[in-house]
Amino acid sequence: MSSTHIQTENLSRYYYLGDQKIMVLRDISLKINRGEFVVIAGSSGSGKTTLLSLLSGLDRPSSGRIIMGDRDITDLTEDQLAPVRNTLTGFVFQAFHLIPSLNAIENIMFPAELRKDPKAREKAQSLLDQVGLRDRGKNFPEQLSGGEQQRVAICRALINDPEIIFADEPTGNLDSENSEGIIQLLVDLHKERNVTLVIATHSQALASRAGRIIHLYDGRIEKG
Amino acid sequence: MNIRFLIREILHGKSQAVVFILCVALSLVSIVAINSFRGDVQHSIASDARDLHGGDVIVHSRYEFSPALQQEISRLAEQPGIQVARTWEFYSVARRADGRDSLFSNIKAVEAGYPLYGTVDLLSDRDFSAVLQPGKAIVAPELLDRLGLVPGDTLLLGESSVDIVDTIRRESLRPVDFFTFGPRILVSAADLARMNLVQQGSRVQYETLLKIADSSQIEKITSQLQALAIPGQERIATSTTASSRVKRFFDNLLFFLSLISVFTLLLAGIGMQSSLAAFLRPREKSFAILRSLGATGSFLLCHYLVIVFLLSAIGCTIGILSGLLLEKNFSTLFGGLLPDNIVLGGSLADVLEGVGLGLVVVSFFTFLPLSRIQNVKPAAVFRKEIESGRTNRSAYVLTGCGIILLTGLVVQQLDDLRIGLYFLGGVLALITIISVLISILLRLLSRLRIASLPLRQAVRSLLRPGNATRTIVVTLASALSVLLTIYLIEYNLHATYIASYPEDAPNLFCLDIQKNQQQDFLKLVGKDVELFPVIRARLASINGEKVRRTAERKKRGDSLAREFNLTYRQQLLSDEVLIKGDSLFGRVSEQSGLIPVSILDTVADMGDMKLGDVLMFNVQGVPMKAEVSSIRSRTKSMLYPFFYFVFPEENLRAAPQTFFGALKVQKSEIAQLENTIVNRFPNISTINVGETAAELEKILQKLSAIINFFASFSILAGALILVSSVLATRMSRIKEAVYYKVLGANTRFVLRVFFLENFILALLSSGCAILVAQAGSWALCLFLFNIEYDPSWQMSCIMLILTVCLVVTLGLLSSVSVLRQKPIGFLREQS
Repeated sequence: MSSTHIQTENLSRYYYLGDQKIMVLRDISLKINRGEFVVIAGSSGSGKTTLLSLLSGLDRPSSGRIIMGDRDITDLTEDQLAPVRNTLTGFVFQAFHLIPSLNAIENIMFPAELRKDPKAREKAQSLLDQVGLRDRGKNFPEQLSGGEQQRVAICRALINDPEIIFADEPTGNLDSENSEGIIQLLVDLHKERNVTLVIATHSQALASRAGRIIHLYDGRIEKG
Repeated sequence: MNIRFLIREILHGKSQAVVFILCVALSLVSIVAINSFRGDVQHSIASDARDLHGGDVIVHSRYEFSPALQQEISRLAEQPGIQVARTWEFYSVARRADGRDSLFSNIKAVEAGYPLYGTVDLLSDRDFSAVLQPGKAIVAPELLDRLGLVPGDTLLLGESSVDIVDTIRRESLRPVDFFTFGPRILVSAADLARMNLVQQGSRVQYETLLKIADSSQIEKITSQLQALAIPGQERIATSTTASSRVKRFFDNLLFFLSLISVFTLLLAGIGMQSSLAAFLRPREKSFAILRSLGATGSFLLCHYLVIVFLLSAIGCTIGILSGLLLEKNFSTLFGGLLPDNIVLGGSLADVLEGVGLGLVVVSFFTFLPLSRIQNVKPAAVFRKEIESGRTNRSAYVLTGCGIILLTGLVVQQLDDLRIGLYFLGGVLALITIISVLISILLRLLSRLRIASLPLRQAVRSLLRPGNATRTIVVTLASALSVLLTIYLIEYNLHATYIASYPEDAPNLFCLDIQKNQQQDFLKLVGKDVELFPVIRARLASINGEKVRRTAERKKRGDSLAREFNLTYRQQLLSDEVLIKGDSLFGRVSEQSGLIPVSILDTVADMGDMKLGDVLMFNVQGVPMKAEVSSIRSRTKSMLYPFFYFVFPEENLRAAPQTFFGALKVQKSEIAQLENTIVNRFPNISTINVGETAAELEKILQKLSAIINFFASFSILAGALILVSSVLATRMSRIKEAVYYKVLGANTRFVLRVFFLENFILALLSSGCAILVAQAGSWALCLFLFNIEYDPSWQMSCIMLILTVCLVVTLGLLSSVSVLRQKPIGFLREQS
């Protein structure tokens, strides 16, 4: 098994705003090793979230290639990406993005149920216990605080034992106390599960705990 | 007024705006078409009223005119400027001269000069009065077809023969000809005596037409004749006040179509409200922002009033134009049911009426969502969930006013306060029942532990906030239940009377058997047939209160104003049971001096009669007082003979009477037996009941097709609400679809969830509709029509499948853009 987990080659991404071409990422080539904890840092508009969404296969590059493990995911269709998202990766969002019609435990179970895991509920309950939300399983997202929602989102990302966890500003919507809790949780799970952790953030507290920081500036890797 | 703001707001919610416009248009299409059609029918009848009735003054009776009235008519006939023509109309059997075939026909004997107004157009284009001479007959073309005759052949009518000299192309007195069950034969009044068909107790409509040159005299002469006429027996009317079968038929048909179109209007109104609420909901945040920037509630309300006005104006225009276009093409829909002189087409009055209707409907159904705009608080900017604002007191007052306005509209459309209120109550009850049902089902669904993930997600989606699940189901189920009920009633009537004619039910009725013909008749038919005495009479009063004939005649269905057939016998018929009273005539004490009468429950309901009530009858001029001694009910269908009023034999034995016989004959032998009977007894009329029922069914089928056509508009209302709901929940759907995809679901999974959501919606709608329609149809068949009920489950299944197809197709088509949504695009917008 190769030690490189994610690799990009000359990755670029641009958008059109009317006739104007907006270049968000330019010629990004990088490698992230298996089990590495990487933070993508940079100021607002530097392209952190875009890079993260390209690495995770949520978005498609304008040019360049993305290889995840041994697999080139650049040209995969949405449906071909579905099993990758379901089993290989997990995603934690700044805005949590929990399904509002499902309660906490159902939200966590959902990815496992997609792959027809008969132990989905047990696993979800166990994860809830681990993040200290044992009694909050039946609560709907609107009944949970921001910190609780993010912990549920992290459990959801973990339920299928993914190899890679992507997180986009996971503490961006939280107060300092809750932020610290989430940071600790992410650090712990990286250590315990040896997952590859890629986080886009401008939180110094979080960046300081990472193994490597990739600094982006104006769509280019400045450092890292 | 900020025009740019208005345009931007409309364009921003253009899909919902289109649904709103379509709902407004839909609410008006059928009602405008029906109202315009009503106007055209009334115009065609009113403008040709004299042609329709054949005279300025019409004197009508089912008996020979009383001497005083006859004397006055004769006196008037001698006056200059007044023309008189008498007619006799009745049913009898016409036979081929060789006796090989016969046909139950409508015979009208007319005096010279008939018709005094209008024309009878002949196929030969010759002048009617010149052709119709004594000994001659002019007949409807179908009589020639069915008897295999041609002009020049001889026809036997009663005891005489007439030569067929021409065929009728059109009669202005009969603009539509499906009211009579036999083809028309016009003969000269001079032949009436030779035919010997008008005998004691014969069912003849006597009519005298008067043409008055000085129109100012019409009212005076009418009053003179009315003063001499026997009330309740002899009717005097002018061409403008006279009722006609054509008018009555269209009154009834238009009434039912009005019911359906008002029903559609109400459902489309719900659609209007639902789509407007969906149009406004995503803007509530914007309202809060505008309020925080200093915009007043009135500013917002005014702008949205203008938006609603603009959209409604477009909807009204589309609705009115479509309605008028539809009406213009009614000839295709109604086929041969339209008067041949009717001119279809909209008028300015129709347009104005449509605009007025639109105004009322839009005002009623939009003011609640609009009134909430004012209540949005600036603080809502800071909250995720925006308060939609409580309904304040002025909204309640406005709702009250709206309900009164709407009730007024319904009553005006149906032209009947009582029925209008019943109708609204009925619709309200239907909606309430379905709402309760759906609430129970949704609650059950929400508590169900569902193992399948897509199914569970579909159920959760149905319960999604902002989803119009309840509104969609209520609207669709209401519309479907009405359609299915119409079908089930028609199906059961067909099954009872046509498809499975009861084994033991009589299929040949013989009427007008004279007293002295009884024995010979029984010998001729060679069967043990019970002959029922028939004494014709009218009900004059109940407990001293006169029967209000004008009001009764306006009633839809049977009325107390008509002539009844009384009978006498000492025991119940085999299909009768006593529901009140100890025995048929047991309750009346001899001291009271009243004659006991047993009445049927149906007539008891018509006149709110009960045991002990005193009924005054007019038996062909002779008053007869009776007391209700018992109330009977029937256990079999209408195909078996029945009588509303039964008297003891001794009280009616001496009254002028004929006899009625109901025979059960092999189908193949009916024609032969009819020939034999009428050859031997020309005055006896025979009715082939099976054939008559089949004829009736053809008309019923046509009418139900028309009613179904209009009822199907209400389905569209449900479909529009469905589309509106999908559009309203588009963001939630996109969000869910994106989350599913981010978490690893493929397109097939998302599609399955959406499919199942719509599938359950369709199942709930059609399930509720089937439940309500089956229960309603069962009750109607059992209690109104007195027939056995067959639920015809295959039709319910077909409706269920069609509903599933419609809802799933519409739901998925409306969700296509949701399915195409890329996760990153949505997530970026949300960040």
